[in-house]
Amino acid sequence: MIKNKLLQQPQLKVFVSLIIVLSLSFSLYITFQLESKIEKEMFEISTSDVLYITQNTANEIKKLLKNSDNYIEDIRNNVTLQNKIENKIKLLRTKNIKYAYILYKDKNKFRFLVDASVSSEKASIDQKFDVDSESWFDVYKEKKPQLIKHEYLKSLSISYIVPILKEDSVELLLVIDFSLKKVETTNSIIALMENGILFMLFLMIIFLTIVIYQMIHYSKVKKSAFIDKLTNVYNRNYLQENQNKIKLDNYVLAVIDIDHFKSVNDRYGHNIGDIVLRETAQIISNTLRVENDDIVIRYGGEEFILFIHKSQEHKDVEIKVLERVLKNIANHEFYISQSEHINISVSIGVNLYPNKSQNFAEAFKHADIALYEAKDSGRNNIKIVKL
Amino acid sequence: MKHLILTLILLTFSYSQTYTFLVKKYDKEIELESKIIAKIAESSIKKEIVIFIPEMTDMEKNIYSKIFTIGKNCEESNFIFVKKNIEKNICQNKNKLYFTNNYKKLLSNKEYFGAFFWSKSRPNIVFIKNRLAQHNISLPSSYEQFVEDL
Repeated sequence: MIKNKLLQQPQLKVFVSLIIVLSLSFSLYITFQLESKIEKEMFEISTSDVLYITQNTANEIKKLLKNSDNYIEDIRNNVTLQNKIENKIKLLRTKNIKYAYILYKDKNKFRFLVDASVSSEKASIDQKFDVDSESWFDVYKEKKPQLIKHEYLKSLSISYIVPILKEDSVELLLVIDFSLKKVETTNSIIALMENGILFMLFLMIIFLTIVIYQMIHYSKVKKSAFIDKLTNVYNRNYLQENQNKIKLDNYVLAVIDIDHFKSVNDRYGHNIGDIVLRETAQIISNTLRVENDDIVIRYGGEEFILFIHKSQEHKDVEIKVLERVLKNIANHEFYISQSEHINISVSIGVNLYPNKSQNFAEAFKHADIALYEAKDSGRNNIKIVKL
Repeated sequence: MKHLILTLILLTFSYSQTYTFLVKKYDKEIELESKIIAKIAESSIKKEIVIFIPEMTDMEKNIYSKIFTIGKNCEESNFIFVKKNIEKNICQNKNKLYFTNNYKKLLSNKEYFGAFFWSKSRPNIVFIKNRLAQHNISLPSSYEQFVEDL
């Protein structure tokens, strides 16, 4: 019977679910972004020295070739020079750097010139080297060192390529291949941080769930405190809590009193009195326009207060609603036993302009005056206060 | 119901090796190799391919048999892929296509028309131009980057 939209549970559930899903998605997005940034930063920190040393090695090789007119031919034909360069790049090999070698480009193919690998894996001079990415060719255009990530290679993670230039043209490439071990170490640290973040996220979700549960629980308790147990409409507590929040501009205020209710109680007992109250409240609620946010309050005893939402389109529709209330109650059969019933009536006092009053108490006072007028003029009628 | 559950359990276990490596070890590297060799063989031989791999392991037999017809010996095969370091004469009949997984062997032995091998942990393919011509092998243009004029 209570139809206040603020307290409708399905909407609250949707709102709560939305909050949880949005919080979760946002937190996960932030986590992934953070992870990606940390991964990049960590890789830069852990490799910056190696990349710097590789660049220095490339500069040293260039110095060795300072008198050369043709780098490729001179290295190919000079075993001593080959050995000198090989010894230099051999120093780059560590447990994390699996291969170090020098390549040159022959048309669209890459070929080995010097290889510092162990003898079982050493490539011969001019041996073709199939590359797995177009980025290798980009070094020739950009003339700057380049990092290439290997997604599909089984034991390599990243290649670092440093161009060795001669008169502003890339002649040779010094390449080092990082083994997976390097990335595995970085990844294990990231995984540790990631687990920490996820754990904190998990705690946050639990905390959020508890807060939301408490909010729902509080909302239910509050709702229960605002509802009259007998009639299932709002009670006086609700009015006290909300009387300053209800915008009087939007409503017509009506006070309904059941006629001769004391006689019903005296004659048929309080149980029948309760039935009359319950069914009267039900008729009022069913007659009002729920979709328009009309509010029914049991003010006390046999008295109800109605806030009827003003219609912008239809004039006097609020009075017609009240007339229907009056008629429906008068026509209703209130059963006092299985075969006997009684009829009751109500008197209604109406304040069409509660907004002209300074506050609810004053507006109510005017409606109450109209109610007394209705009582005085024979009951079972509607009186509108003249302001 | 019992029979249905029993049948499902039996079926699950019978096909277990297709979805888990726990039951039987599976080598992805050999699978990749077999697919590359299949491409090469299909581009080199126009008729049905019967492959022979000397001293083939059970794992290789299992994986290669899914793509190729495997010859019992060299004589009844038309594509010979030599993976091991075998010095003896593999075949009396020389009118076969020989392929290897060793670059140095490709350079030193003129019987081989090409090689598929791992260099710096990367797959590499090399075909020798004049040996392709000897066997009247015409490879698609996409293979041009792998052909070497040695």
